[in-house]
Amino acid sequence: MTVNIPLLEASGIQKSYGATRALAGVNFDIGRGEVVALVGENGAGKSTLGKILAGATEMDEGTVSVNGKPVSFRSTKDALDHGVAIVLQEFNLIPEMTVAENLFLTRPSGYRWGWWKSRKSQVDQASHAIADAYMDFGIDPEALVSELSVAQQQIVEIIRSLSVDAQLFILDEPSAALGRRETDSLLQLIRRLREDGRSVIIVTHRLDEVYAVADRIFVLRDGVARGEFDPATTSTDDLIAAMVGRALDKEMHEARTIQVPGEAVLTVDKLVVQGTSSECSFQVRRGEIVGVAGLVGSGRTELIRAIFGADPAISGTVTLGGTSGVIRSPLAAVRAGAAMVSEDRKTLGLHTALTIHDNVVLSYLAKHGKFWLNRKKLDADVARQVDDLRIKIGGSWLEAGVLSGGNQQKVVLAKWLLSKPDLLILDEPTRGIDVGARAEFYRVVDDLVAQGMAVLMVSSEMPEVLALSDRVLVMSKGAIVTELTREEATEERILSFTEVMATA
Amino acid sequence: MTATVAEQRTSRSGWSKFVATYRIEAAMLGALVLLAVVLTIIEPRFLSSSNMQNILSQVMVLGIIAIGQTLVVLTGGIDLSVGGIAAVSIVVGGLVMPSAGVLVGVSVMLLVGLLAGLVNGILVAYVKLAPFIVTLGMMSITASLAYVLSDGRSIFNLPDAFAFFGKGNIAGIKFYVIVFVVLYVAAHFFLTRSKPGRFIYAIGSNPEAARLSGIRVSFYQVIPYAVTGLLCALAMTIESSRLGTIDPNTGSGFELTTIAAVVIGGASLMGGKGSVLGTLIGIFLIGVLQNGLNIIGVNAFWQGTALGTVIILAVVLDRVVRVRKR
Repeated sequence: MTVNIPLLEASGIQKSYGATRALAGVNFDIGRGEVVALVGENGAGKSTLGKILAGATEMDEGTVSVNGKPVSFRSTKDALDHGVAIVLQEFNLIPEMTVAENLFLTRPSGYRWGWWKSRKSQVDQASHAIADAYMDFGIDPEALVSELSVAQQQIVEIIRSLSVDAQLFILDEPSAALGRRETDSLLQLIRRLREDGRSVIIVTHRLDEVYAVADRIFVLRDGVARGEFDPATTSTDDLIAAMVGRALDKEMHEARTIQVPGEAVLTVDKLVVQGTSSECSFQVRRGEIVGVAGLVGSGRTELIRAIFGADPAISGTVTLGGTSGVIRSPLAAVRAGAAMVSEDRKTLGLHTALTIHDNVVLSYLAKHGKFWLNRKKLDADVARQVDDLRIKIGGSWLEAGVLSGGNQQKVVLAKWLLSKPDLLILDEPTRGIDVGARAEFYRVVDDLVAQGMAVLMVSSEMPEVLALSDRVLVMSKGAIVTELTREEATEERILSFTEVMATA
Repeated sequence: MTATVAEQRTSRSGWSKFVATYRIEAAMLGALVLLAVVLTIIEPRFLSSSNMQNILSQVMVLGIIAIGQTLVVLTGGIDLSVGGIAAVSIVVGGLVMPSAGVLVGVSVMLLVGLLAGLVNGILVAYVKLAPFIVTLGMMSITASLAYVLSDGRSIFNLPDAFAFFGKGNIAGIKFYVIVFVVLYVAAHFFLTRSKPGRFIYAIGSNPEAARLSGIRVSFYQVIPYAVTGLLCALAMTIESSRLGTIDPNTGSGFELTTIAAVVIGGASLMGGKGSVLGTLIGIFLIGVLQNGLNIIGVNAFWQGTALGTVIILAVVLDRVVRVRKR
């Protein structure tokens, strides 16, 4: 179908946050039945643009028109009245309500004559909505949202936001918390929206999604449009170059310095994690990276949390730094020489209200600190970590919350490195971090391993697992189903194990 | 030449660090000075030494308790039971004092305060109850026990030696002024230069991240409540000694004034942000405001309006300063 007037057209969009310019006069348009991917590094302005188009953020200057008519959105509801809906990165679910209640809270279909429908008809309706969105991943419509995993919550949020009747859907990092299978379903859902003649703007970090679903790629860098690309004729390298403004050496993060591993640092023997009955056994040795692959919900995060004492295991032994047994608390793990960079940086890793300095010293103090602080030594230690990790900051007394995602992650890493661990556990270490900062993070980890650190890494990013791991443990339903060497490990092989086990 | 440049850079970074850390406190200190100047212009008697002493003695009790309240608020908690604990601890101590002597009596006072605070802390940290509920219950229990034990009557027959805490001098300086200064200095160093101090901020700002960093969250959560209980007893020991009587009908409104002082001083009730320097300025701002309105002849009924306005303005100022920084 040829379109003369775009569905939505925006021109000269400007937006500043204080002294930071997020968008500097961006022109954007999208036609009916088109899927446009909005890509760029962190801080490029892509989320801001998506939010402005959906009325979630107000612009400073510029015009937006829908079907050729100028509009001015003051809220997301305003935008929805004009047929523009958004799935936000932050959750807007009510944790104390069930999945079904959340799905229909603000929908007319949840009510009859102004009254809340019966629980049963809501649950039926919710089951249909979940199945309809290809998202049938065992989400119980009657479960409280607070009981769901992050991935499941994200799915509920997506279903809820996509169940409205809109012409244009804007998805802000929809797959950030999703595993591969959930992401595939999401992409299928986007394709169906396109077939129905709806348009979709997808804001994302993940280039595989971009290539899988987008008709057009719109690149932003530093708040300025850096070109539009046709996925059929554009290589990943060209795209990354446009995003980061320089050709990223693709080989850099793939070429790890592989060495012969040393003695075992961590030995896990017949460990049974809460909620499963499988026994897990494996070792991590000095100078190697062991990757843990599997779908969301396969028990990867639960396994490493049990090793770290965050949620103590039921039985089995963990041998680490001269101690042996079930680790009962994070403090016990830290004392035995472990460190864990958690899955969700903002809620589990960083103290956003504290200064960078106060963040970095915490684990060192917990492990070694005397009652009174040696401030000179701590200042020097923090300065050294900031230098080593090349954290770009104005000063270590600034609030950690103001840093970019990549620098925040480095602050968390610096906190752990200061405690001089033997074992570094990484859970989704590069989630929500842009391409440039990722390469930097890989370099840092590679350096640490070269110096003898043992690393245990959980990641949903398959290229990351393949590029970094010496060995890959594949998990499914709480059990380690196989172990692959670096040479054996390919995306297809790993998936064959997870898929077989998941459908079996 | 290079050395001077380097020196300049460090001194400038030291200055921006200071500004970044204490900007709210500095703004509040400015407000306090401004208020004092305005009051002096209207009524020069405000600056007289007898009036200054007056303000000091008024600020003393709540100022000491506000130190504990600061610690509690920094962990993201709140202590509503400060007035009740203050009352019950001096009543119990006052009952044993005539027979057991001053030393035992005062020890009992402090012990009762410490124990009540410990119960608060354990219920919050280990039983994981909401601080608001726990201390609301404790407020009711302690205030009621103070009446039960004293039969609602004030205790007068206190030994003469007890007067030292409120009226005695050391080297010409009032004993309680020394206690006040020592406590604030100690609390400041505790929060900024000790390990537990740093951990209290970390727990208030993000308890789960603190636990995963290897901090024993529950243990460090108990300390602020226990300290607050102890300080309530200490402050009230001094006050009852100064007045020469133990009144069970004391301590009402302590929780609101101490929380107000902490908030005016720039602390966040969400935890993780604030300082005892801020609280010190906050408590003096409240004290000067009340005293000043009195001395310039404003009806005492207006004090609540003035205090409430200052609390809200303080929070607005905090917001403005934070937004400008972004």
